[in-house]
Amino acid sequence: MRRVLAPLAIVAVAALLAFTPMHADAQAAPDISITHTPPSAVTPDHQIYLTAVLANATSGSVTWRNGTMAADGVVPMTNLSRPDGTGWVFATYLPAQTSPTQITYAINASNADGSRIESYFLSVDVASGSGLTASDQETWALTLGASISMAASTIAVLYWYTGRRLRREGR
Amino acid sequence: MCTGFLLLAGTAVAVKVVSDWWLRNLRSRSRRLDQWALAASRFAEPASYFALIAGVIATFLSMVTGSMAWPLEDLAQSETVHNKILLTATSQTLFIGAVVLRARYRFEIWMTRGTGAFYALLVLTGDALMVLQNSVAGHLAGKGSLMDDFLHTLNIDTHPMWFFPPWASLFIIVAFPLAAAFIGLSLRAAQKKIGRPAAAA
Repeated sequence: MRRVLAPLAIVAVAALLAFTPMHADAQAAPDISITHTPPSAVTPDHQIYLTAVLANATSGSVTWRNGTMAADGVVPMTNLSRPDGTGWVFATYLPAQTSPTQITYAINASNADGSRIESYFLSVDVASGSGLTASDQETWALTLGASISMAASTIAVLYWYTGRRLRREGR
Repeated sequence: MCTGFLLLAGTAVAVKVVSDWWLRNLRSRSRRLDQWALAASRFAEPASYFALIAGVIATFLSMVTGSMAWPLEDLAQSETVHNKILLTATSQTLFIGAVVLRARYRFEIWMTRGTGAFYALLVLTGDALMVLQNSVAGHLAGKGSLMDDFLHTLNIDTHPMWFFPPWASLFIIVAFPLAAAFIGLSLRAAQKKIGRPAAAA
């Protein structure tokens, strides 16, 4: 009898737990969301303009750091009063970087009930003109061939060495 | 998935190396640790082989899906993508080599210190290149990488395209296979020299 009742009790408890939160969910505050794409083609000596769509947030800020900084910098985001989907567009500027570097940054969106943080990354680099030339591609292809040649030659030597060593040991 | 399998392979190889080192050098110091080392050694080796094979297969699948996720023009023009392809191709070659070695010499590859150490070095070098490749992938996805600070300290920038000067590449392409062939023939000759007196006797 117990064998039959125990699974029934588990199913009943699971059903209760499944239905109970429905009411609580209806009252929960909507989640904060952050929609952002890191800017591309950021060059030195120009301020970096960041925009993000923050939904259900009343304020935003950006914590950032480049490759040489010892501590994070923080800049507030401004609400541009421009709706986008379910949120509002927020924007800020990061200071111009004097030389190529990599910047890690986090957008922090908050409201009275809590906050949400998402991390991003961007590169500050000199413009490479029209991209890679045919000569660059050839140089890279040779490098690829050289790397594979090195790896394959090393493996071949290891193969022969292992064979000889194991034979010498009588394995 | 490919990263997970290949990292498992590297971890299992590291466990095997440590447990073999314990059993060779510190055996009988602690009975419990001896038992752990024996058990780890027994299970880590087949686990690493399985994970290597699964990781190599998964990496080929990942290469196909990765190349389809980007437009061809972007792939051809991005310097960072070139770095990722370079690292992936090199690490995959090392892992395939490790699978070939393990398939040919089986468990016996661990029977001498030298062969086991070189095999472990091969797998762990492949893992190191793969971790670097994953860091590059993080930059491509615009999320950065947990290794950024570490790479900065080593002055490694994953964004500009990495390349050897063309003359160096051509030299490596020719010289390395020639050197490998020379070493292979030398080892063969040495083997014959050892084998001859035994055959005569």
